[in-house]
Amino acid sequence: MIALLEEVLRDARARRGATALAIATTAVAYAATLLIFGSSVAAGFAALDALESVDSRTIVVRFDSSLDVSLDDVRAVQALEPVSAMVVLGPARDAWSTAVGPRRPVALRTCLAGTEAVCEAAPDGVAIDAAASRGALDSMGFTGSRGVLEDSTHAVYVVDEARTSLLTYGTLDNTAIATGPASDQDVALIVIEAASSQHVRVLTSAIADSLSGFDGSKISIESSPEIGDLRSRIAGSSFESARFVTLAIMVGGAAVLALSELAVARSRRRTMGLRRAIGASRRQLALGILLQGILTGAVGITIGGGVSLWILAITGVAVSLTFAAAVAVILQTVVVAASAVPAAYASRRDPARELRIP
Amino acid sequence: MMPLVARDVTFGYRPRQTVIDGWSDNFQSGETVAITGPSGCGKSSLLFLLGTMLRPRSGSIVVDGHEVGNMSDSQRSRLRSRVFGFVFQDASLDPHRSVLDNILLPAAYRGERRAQWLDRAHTLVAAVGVEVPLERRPGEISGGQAQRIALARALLHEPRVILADEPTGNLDSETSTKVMDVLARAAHAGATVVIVTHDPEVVRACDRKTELTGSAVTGRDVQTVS
Repeated sequence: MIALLEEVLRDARARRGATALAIATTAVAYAATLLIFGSSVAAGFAALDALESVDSRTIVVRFDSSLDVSLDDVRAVQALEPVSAMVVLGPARDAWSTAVGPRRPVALRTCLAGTEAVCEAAPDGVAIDAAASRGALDSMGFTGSRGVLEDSTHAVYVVDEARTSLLTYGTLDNTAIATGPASDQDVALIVIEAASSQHVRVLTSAIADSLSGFDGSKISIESSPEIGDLRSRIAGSSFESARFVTLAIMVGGAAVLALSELAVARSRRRTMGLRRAIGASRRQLALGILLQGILTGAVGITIGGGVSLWILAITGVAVSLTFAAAVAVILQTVVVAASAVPAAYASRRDPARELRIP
Repeated sequence: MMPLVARDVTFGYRPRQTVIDGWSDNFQSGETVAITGPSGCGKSSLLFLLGTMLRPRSGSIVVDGHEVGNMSDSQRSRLRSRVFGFVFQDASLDPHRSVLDNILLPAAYRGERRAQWLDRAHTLVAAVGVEVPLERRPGEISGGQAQRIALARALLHEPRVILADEPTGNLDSETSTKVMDVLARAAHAGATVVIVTHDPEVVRACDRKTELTGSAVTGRDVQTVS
């Protein structure tokens, strides 16, 4: 194998023109994919991210005051997988609120107007950070020594604030304000933040299902799935385009490389016949050409990647390394696959036919 | 053991064409055999048959006691790289590779590093009388020099059987003599040398000759020259 590799390298060096052309083709294909396609995709996703907002991810569930819904009844909503954060608000009379979320535990956020919030130990006995809780209550609009909420707050506004609050008051994981066991705490409002706006429509439907045991006419579920739908459509069409363009580049590149290498192999058919005559097996000839494909592909991708990443760094466009690596792997596969055509052609050369002078 | 034996070999390029018909011969170690005959009578085809590059339609070719008719491609390739040395009619050097690379080319397909054959390559170049920088490409040397480089390539691994197709075709008489001396030395060392030639001087230098006369070689025209 080492001897064959040595021969492949010498052959590649001897045929500098063809080798340089193959390397350049691969490098240009890789650089073009990263620069044009990669930067377009990156820009597209940046635009999609800009569309994303807390509002677009928020679902508000309001319960009619005539419904007897307890905190335990809405635990199922909390368990839904795309829920990123959830705030449960009780009616003013119960003066309690708690918040939960699988990734970002939400501390007590607020209560409805006129609620007297009591800052005390959580029901499970976990000690609270009194100073931080005090600060949180202040920021929420609680006033007075025990924190009386003076303003009525809108649900979406609450979540928007909560998001900021989560960043600011990340130490409030164990903070809770409660006046009794969960089964006694009526729920008036749930504010849910989905992991992404794309999940809002599905999550809204799942929430409705999980609350199917209650009179639906007394439950209002408010969400804005349009942005999520739009994002899904744009993302979907982007990925469709990405697949098509990637396929086109790869198939086109493979065809160009295969044809050019086949042309080279055809021009060297006598040489291939000679090699077969002096002892090269079909496998050795094919392997040699495949090895050459692997090497030229690797060199081309390294050069193309280096140049394009340099240009991207200058222009300030960020392309994910995962994307760059995926394209590199696909391109290398294409180059090797393209080498299979001349490899098969060369390995089928009949030495007697190629060397015989009629 | 006879290094090379042909028994009732029949061959044609197309189903209804017969180039060689029931041809037999035994080639012994250390002998030089000239194959002669008019153009188109199948001399080169015979050489390709003996060199396992063609399969006979019927009959058998036995190399070192092994029947090659049933061998796989890789087995025959291995046999060609281990047992045979070939000199083709037009030298058949790779035009993109240096003279030295061409001489060392068979090493790669034997799985051997070229470095271990460098000294041998230089010795052979001197033996065949080529005095050109070995970095040159075949296009930069004369036809005669190319033919001698091809001979050096064929001799690289000290093959037990050397099959040469008009090895002196492009050479002047002095260089022809030098080439024949090299081949004679190989035979003296134990190699079987089979030469297709039109050159009476080459025929005279061989131990015996096989003359192919007709459009279908009958195998009945083997003559001993000396």
